[in-house]
Amino acid sequence: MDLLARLIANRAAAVWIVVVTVGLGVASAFQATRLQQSDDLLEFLPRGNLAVAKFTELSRRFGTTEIALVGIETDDPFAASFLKRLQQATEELKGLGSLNHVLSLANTGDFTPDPGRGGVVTTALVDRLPANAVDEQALRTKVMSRDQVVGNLVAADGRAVAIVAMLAAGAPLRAVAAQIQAVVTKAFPTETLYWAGDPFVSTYVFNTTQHDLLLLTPWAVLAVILILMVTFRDPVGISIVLVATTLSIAMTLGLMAALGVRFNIVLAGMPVVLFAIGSAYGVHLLARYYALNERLEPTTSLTQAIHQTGPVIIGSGLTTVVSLASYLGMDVHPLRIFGLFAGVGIFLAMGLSLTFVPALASLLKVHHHPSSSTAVAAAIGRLTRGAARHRLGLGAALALVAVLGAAASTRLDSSVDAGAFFNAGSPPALAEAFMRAHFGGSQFAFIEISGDMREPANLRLVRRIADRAALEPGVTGVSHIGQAVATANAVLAGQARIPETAAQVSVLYSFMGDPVLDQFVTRDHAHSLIHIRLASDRAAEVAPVLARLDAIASEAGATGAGSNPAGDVAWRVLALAHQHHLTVSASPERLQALIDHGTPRPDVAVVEAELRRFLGSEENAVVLPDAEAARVASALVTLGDRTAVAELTTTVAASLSPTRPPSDAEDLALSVSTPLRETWAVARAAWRRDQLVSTLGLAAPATDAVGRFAADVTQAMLDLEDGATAAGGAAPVAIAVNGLPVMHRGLSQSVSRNQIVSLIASAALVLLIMAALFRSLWVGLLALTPTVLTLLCVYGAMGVFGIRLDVGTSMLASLVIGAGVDYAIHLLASWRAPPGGSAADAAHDAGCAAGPGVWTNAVMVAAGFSVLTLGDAKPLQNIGGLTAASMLLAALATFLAVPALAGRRRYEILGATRATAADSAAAVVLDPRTTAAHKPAPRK
Amino acid sequence: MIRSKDVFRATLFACGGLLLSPPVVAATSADEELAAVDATIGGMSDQTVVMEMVTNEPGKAERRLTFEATVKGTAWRRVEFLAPADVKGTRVLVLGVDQMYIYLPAYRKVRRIATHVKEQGFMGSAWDHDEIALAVFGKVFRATAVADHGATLTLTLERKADQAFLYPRLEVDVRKDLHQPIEIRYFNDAGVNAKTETRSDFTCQGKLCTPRAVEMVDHSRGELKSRMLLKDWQVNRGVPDSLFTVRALQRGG
Repeated sequence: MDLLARLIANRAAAVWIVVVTVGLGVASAFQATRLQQSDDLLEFLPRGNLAVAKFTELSRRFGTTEIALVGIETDDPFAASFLKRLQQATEELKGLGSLNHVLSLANTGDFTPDPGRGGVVTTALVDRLPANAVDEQALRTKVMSRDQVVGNLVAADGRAVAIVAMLAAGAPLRAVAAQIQAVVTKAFPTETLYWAGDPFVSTYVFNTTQHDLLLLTPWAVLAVILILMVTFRDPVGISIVLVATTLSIAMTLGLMAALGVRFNIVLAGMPVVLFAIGSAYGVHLLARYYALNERLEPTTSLTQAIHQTGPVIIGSGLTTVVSLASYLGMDVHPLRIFGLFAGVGIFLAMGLSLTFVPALASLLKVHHHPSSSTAVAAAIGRLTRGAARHRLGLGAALALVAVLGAAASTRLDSSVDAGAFFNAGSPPALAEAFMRAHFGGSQFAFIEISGDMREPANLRLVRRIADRAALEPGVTGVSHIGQAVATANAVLAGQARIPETAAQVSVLYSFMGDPVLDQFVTRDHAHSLIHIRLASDRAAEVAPVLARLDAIASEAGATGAGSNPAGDVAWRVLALAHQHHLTVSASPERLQALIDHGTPRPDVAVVEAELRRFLGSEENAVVLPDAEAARVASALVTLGDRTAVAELTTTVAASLSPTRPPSDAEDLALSVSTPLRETWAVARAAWRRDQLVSTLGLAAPATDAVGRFAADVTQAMLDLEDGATAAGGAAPVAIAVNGLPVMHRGLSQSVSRNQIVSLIASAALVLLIMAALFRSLWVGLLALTPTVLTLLCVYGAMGVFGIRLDVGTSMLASLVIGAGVDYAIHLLASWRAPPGGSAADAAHDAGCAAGPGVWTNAVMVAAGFSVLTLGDAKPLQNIGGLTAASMLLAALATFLAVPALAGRRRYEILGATRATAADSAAAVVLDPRTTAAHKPAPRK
Repeated sequence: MIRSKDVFRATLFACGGLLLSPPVVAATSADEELAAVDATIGGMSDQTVVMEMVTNEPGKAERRLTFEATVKGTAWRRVEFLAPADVKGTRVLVLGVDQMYIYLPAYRKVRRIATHVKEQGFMGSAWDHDEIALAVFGKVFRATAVADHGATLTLTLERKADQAFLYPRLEVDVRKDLHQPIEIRYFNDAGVNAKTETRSDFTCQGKLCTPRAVEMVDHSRGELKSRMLLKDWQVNRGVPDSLFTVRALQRGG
């Protein structure tokens, strides 16, 4: 301090310091203009967290899992004018280039069997725009009968439609979200639109936070400046301090730019922190300088001010720096960067307050006549004296508060979900409510199954897991590769089920479109995803669902693939009943027993009729007249499902017209071989279905739902056929639940860990500094006590009022420890009983001397941060409001806890020079945060 | 979800490359040049090609597909996939929009698929149904302008009012000596160049020519690129009509 003081006292050195500092500041400001903005929200995912790592790996493996959902409210989604605009919007979205896949009513495919000519006819679901009311009603009936569409692309009540957009890998979320909004809004300017899914939610959170920071930061800074001006009534001095603080911010930003660090929404809050906390150091020194300058010449005043306040400023600054540095122990990169550079900024502010501020003050020969304002000092003096006098009672009360706070803080919820980032009534909340009401929600979990997805047994395992998941409360829909393969199989082979052989699955994959396939299976077919739509996006409601999904995954992993076909069919039946809103009260075990029961007795007449139909279709290689087809069918049906080509050829030849060449019989046998086997299989499945439906007491297929259920159950029963169950071994598979909700769970664990790490690290480091500063571990603990008490109260209140610990609020502890412990430093540094005085006198004098400054600083920081609560961004509201409350609480706790626990009559701070009584008197009037007493307390 | 349309596209796609061989015709105006180009496309009674298609998509593994395609007239088409193993032996017959048949060896049966949809790529390639099916420009487009660049000229084609082709405007660079398109730029409704197709390295048998390489780049899908390389090309062999039957499809060969 001595060397520094002598340096500043030298005019040439002061000039040099000012010039160099301003030069550095200007250069830094120029450099800071090159600072690049990062809007990558993925940076906020904790590195090293297992759940996050798995989610990241999942996204990398499947290209992307980002799904944007647009909900459109409409009275008539089947009106031609609406559909035309939907087509235009869908086409335009597809052309954006940043979307892997866009799906809506306008581009969904559809297929129908063609019993007459054979095979299927594929069309667009909306193959033409309805020309009149009759067309419109027909289209409505058709669309609402498609189970895969209702509840996904059109609401069951027909009053809303959805557009589903899968983002391409690496697509910038905000930009794509904006593009989608522009396209859809242009197409539907009068409809109410809802934007759901992570791309829109992330964009909303980012935009509101950035908007609020840009809008509110100047007001927060202005609030700090106004409070400084009103309190100290020294425009010149305050301006010097503000210039110093501004320069420290410029230098920090310039350093970041030079190091290539990108600015983000967390760092955007740094100016408020630096202004609120960093400006206090300069004020502190300047006030001492003014006080001394009342009776001493400027140079002496300056050196003495540095001597007297330097150690306190350094102590305060270092505690804040190390507290912020504790963020380096966090695993969220932007928070680490914030901790590092906010610490650098505070360090620079502290450094400039001891160099630039006195140097410029000296050069400008600033002088200030202190105003008289002692009411606050007197009040705080009475408070601290009272606290010291009632140590026992107050100590007990504070202990009780601490215990209550600790107890309430056990209720602190660290779960993370989308709701942590926006308020009820905000656009994302409204969108989620809309999607939940009409489409079952917008939140997806995934179950990833690793194994050869060309193996039918593994696909059936996927389907079994999906079926079980679909039955869980809180799950509103599932989609998986088994469904896609079954649909492709229905088109290419006529049966809506997972085929029997790996070769068949492989060829289906080859003909399926990449956008569809990429959602569910990797290109190497080694990994598959089940998409599970969740009814809620709230962590508390999602957690039990995830737990049950975990259990299903574990059980499936233990059981493996292909071990229990009847069991799989039982789950299939339950899931189908659930899908069709039918009640099946039987347990899976009971169903399995029913399915296994009895030997099928297929209806031969049905088989023969189906064979005749096939023989008359274009899929038959040999054209047959009706009579000849009937003869062949009758002959074939006697073979059962024996499909050896030689036997078939002989049988067919015997029933064909003798005039036909032998090649006709050979070709006909080839044609009919597979259909014959399949027809018998379907007939047996239909018998099993009828038995089951009858036993379950479900009505005959009188309604659409029961009819579709029955058809689906028939397909499920086909898996019991020998070929189906024998094919495909139980390949080794790995199964894990994943997705955004799982990542949120990991994020929650990370937040808790970060909080503990940063809390312990900052408390330990601050304690070390305090112990060194006061040369006593006990005094260090004493100084830390008010902050600990504050944190217990704040966390307790968060627990009581349901304010969650999240990425933002987890920054609070270190910030409060760093800034809040300064108050105790100032109070203890002023703690000195007058000759013959008691500890209570010391408390009074310290309260009078340091109290107003502490209180002013608390109000200043609180004002700055409370401005952040005026915006829409919930994270800013939380951190702003809590920090503001914490600083006021910390000040109050300091005035109560330190006197209640301090037993000494004086505390010495390392390296500090005591002020004389005259210095003190003047200093208190000007800046009550100085170390001198305002006036001697009456001796008791 | 339903990919039967891809089967249709597969055949159209495979055959699309065949419709490129020309008798050279002299032409001057836009309409005449368009007619000359169209004449080069439909000038053979039959042709058979073997092609390898290579698709490169950013971030994804390269995909290769080899097939043999036979075209007779302008309506009958038959394709057999030769590689990779997943699709080897799969045969597709197209006699018309609602007369398409596919034989899948893994199922050992013929399936009829009538498709009326046209969108998205075939087997992950950059080609769509419309581009593949565009055998003759003049049926869908009218030429509105021609710009002469010496060895090449550029035709501007506008979609006819009664047509539903995906793109309303095309720019076709034509090699004047062959009357062959060498680059086709597809413009979407917003006037954006959505795709670019280039045809190069022409090989000729007498007066009939065809490109050895055809490349399509989809600018709207991260520059998804597919390249067809000609492995074998035979023309006017007198392919019998019986090749284009369900019976022949089932038997193979």
